[in-house]
Amino acid sequence: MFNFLESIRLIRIISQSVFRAASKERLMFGFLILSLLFVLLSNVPFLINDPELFEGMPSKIASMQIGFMGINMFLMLMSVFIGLNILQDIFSDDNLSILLSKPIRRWHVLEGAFFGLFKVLFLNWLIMVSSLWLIIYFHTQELNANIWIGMSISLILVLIYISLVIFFYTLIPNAISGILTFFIIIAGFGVSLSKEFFSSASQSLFFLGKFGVELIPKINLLLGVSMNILGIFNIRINYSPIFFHTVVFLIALHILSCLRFNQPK
Amino acid sequence: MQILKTVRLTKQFSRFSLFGKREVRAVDSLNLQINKGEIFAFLGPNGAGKTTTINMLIGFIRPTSGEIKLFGNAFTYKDIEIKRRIGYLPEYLQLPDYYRVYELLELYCNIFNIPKSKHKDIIGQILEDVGICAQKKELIKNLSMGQKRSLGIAITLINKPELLLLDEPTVYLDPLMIENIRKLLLKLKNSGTTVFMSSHTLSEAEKISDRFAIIKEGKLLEQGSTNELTKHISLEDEFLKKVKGDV
Repeated sequence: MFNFLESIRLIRIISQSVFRAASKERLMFGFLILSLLFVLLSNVPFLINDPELFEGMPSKIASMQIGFMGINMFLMLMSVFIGLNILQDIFSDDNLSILLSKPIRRWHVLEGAFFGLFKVLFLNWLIMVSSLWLIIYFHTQELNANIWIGMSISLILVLIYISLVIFFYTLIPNAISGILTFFIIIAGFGVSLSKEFFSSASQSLFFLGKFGVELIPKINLLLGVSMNILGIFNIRINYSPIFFHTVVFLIALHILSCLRFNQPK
Repeated sequence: MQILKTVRLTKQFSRFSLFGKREVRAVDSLNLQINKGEIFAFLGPNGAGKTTTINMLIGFIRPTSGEIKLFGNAFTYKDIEIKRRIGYLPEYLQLPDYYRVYELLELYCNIFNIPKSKHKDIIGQILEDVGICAQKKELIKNLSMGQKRSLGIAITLINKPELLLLDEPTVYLDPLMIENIRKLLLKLKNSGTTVFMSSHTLSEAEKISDRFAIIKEGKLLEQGSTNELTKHISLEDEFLKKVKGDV
């Protein structure tokens, strides 16, 4: 019989183990240092203070834009590369056979890996956003709560990235899963463009395209929401359908991953 | 009483190449019976199908056909509760290097939901049994191959299993550690634990096993009592005779 609490307990144990493995990754520290150097660049608009250089943009907004770009870029790279490294260890036959000889189901391992990776990336996100917030606070002496709210969208993106890596790893357990993840992420950046393209196409292609676009995570729209909250842009976006689509996308991806991974060789 | 029984157990793998698909039978209609409280030596040359068989017995891979009965019940990979009663040691052991010995065993205690108050006693006893008590606080990356193997055996004993499935338990171990493991297996046997072990160390298998089976290319060549056999011929000679004779 399905025991929900027991499943949560086992997933938590596996996620702790994955968290520990991920936090020992040298690659992660490399990415973290690079991202912090990038975030440090958000000092520049305050130091130069030349409105012409930033096309009339206030220093605070220019600073946030640099931080936003650095944090999102490095979180994406970290999710895919650290995710792949950890999955290779956790899902190796030698490691899996020991785990699965215990009263653990395959999907417990999969979800444990997901939450373990998320915990590690959350910690990285916290360090990066804290650094950005501190820099802006140092210069503006304002609390800037919108930085935390706006940047929390990056955590949703991290959920998407990790879920994609895990999904593709259950299909093709090697580095190709990382390449496929990047393909989908790139496609996610172009969702709006493709929507425009398909809306001008023939009727049948329109439906096909519209359906296809719905299978892609709305990465660019989520980034748009984040930029709106941060005040970088002021564009009209209806947040609810984007979040709804993301939640459905994540749930569907996890169900598919679990179904695929639950089948032994 | 039969603890483990396989009926016409078969595993077929598909191998894909440029020239098309090829079916390989790793295990072919294997019938085994293992009785409660015995040490069963599962012997065969490299590539005979020993590890594949054990992987099916723990539910890691699915049999193509045939049946597995564990503790009298039909077993499939979906039955996870039955795994509380078994312990498994793989041939190639991949342990997380960044854990300390005690911490890793504690992790497995947590998986089996053993109360925290009992961890210290259980882990202490097991480490003493496998002979790595002094390395309790050592990082796994600092252990020797033999010590890692002993730690692997310690992990299998955490849940006090009724059936132990050991894939090459004495590989990488020095003679002293082998003797230690031998004593441990005999102690476990005397306490009613059933041990199913695959091995290449035939002299060791002869010393401790009650019954044995020899397989080659997935097919069972012989199964019987070790004592009965060794009255006439050593296990090693019988193994060589069977494996070479059936070429």
